[in-house]
Amino acid sequence: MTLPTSDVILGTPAIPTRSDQTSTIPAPGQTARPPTDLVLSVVVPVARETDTILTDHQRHALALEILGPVEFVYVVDGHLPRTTSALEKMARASGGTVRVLVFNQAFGEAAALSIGFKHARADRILTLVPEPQVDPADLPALVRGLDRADMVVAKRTSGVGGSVFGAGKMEWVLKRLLQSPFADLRCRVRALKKEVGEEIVLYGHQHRFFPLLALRHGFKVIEQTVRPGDGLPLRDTSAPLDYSMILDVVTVFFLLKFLKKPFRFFGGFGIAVLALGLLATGWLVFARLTFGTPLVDRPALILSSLMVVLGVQIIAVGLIGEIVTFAYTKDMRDYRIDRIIE
Amino acid sequence: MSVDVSIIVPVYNEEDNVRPMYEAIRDAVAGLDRTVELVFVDDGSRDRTVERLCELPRQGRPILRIVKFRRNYGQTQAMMAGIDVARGKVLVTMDGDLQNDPRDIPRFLEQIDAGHDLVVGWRKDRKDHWSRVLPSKVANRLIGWVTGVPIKDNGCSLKAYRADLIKKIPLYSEMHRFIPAMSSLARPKIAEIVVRHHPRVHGSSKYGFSRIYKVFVDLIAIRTVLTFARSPLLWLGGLTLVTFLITTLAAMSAVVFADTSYAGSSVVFAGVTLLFGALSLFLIFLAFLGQLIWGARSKSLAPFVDLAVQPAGREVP
Repeated sequence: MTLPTSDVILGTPAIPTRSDQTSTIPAPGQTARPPTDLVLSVVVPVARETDTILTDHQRHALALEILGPVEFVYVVDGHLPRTTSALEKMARASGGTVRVLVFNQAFGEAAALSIGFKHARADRILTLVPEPQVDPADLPALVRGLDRADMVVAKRTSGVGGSVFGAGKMEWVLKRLLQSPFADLRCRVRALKKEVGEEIVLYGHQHRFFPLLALRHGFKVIEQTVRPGDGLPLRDTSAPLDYSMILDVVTVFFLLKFLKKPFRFFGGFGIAVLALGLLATGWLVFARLTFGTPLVDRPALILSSLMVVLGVQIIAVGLIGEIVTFAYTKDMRDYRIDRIIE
Repeated sequence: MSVDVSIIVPVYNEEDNVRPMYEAIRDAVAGLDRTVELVFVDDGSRDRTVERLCELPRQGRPILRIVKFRRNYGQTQAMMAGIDVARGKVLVTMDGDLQNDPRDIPRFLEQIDAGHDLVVGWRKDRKDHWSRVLPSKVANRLIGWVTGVPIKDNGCSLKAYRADLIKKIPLYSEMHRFIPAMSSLARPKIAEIVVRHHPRVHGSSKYGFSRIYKVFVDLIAIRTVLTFARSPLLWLGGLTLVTFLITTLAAMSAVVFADTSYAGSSVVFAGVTLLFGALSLFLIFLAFLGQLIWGARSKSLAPFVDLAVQPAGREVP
């Protein structure tokens, strides 16, 4: 066996250099500024035209000022000319502390966040939405919470202006389904360390479950109570969307849990079905031979055989899954070494 | 600098155990006439384990190396990282919870020198609660029976390997318990020696009771992989044979009953014939699918398959 290449050993994340970032995504207003003194990168995905973006920015910037030099990365998700030009103006005037990335199409919030994380230059990241979901005065405390954890999730106290009331449906389902400890996943204000953003690739609707994903990846995630801001409730509250998201999250957790051991999943089901089928068949045969219970004119034997067949099929598919996993396992060194001290 | 022996110790939340562990290992290998390196792999501990590790003396013998993970990846990954990073010709793995006794290490090295490829410890007199010992005994029997490597104690982390053998063995998910089984493809010379075992002093155990089920399904998985590595198409062969047999039996019953007073049964048996016939076909095609996947990756699997073709031998210097 060959030793893994040195970048795996040293845990250097595969992040493109800044020069090729700018070539792939236009970043107007980006001027060179040494990233060393930044304490926080604020990533804000913008998905619709807003008129209040400048005032919101000022409120956030003002509140976060006490932490030290902060940069803002706005990711404009789609064709939003008014907001883009407003942001562009702001970026030019900011002297490098505000950067704007513009997608040529809407790719979704998860993609926007991922790109934002890649461009973030500070070790700590705060994700915000253009509306004030959280009282800006509580933001610094949220970021300071990173001293104790890898990710801090805002949990709004219900009532004043917030959107918690009536929106706890998804949280309830997730709690039952996946033992999610989070009470307010609708709030997108989250502080995280850069490595969390690097390691977890978000796509689809996964930004909603970001804290849950981080938790399952082995990061330490805490919830911190904050006061709600005076923003409008988030737009995506329709029920059908919620349930499609549940499907999304089930997929994710299947991958997280069984990617390296598919047979634990298939095997469990398959063995159960097979055992049931064998028991049923055994009973039918036994009953026919000893009590003379006829097998004719009822589908019992066919059904029990079907169960055996199904069980064997599930098991066999699981074994193929295991072969696939094994065949690719050489590339599956998924540990990341932080550092080697010698 | 060439290193003769690497001792790999994965640690997870073991702040109280780190220093005693280090001292015990240092004293145990002090009398050896070899260069020893000690690799601690911190599996993303939440307590002060890393600080404690960094406080250990960096100079002198044994050479100390600390691998720090970003977060908790699990014991197998930690073991794997240790094996990848280690530079020794002989690798020794052990638990970080002081239940293994480092004073046994020289005896392991003797066995390796005597020509064994793999030396496993056997905690003959375990100092654990019966609720841990009993599942473990059942699991070991199962493992020995399924993999054909009858080792009395697979769960004992204290093991020694020849580096060029262990570095070829792929580990994934929670396979560290099955290293001897996985290496069986190479028909290694395995020695088993009784080791001392201490009750846990600090910290708490990290295993639960649900392991039997996991061990059981993992075993089927391993058996699959091992059989597949030897002869891919034969792999589902046994299963297909059984289903084909059932198909034939059902078909015969259908024919036999057709002209008797049981003519109704004939229909039922015809149905069963169809079902199992379909299953047999399904399995055959699945075996081909497996072959396809295996073939596509044959290059990267070569070191592992080589184990079967070229069993664990060693060059005589």
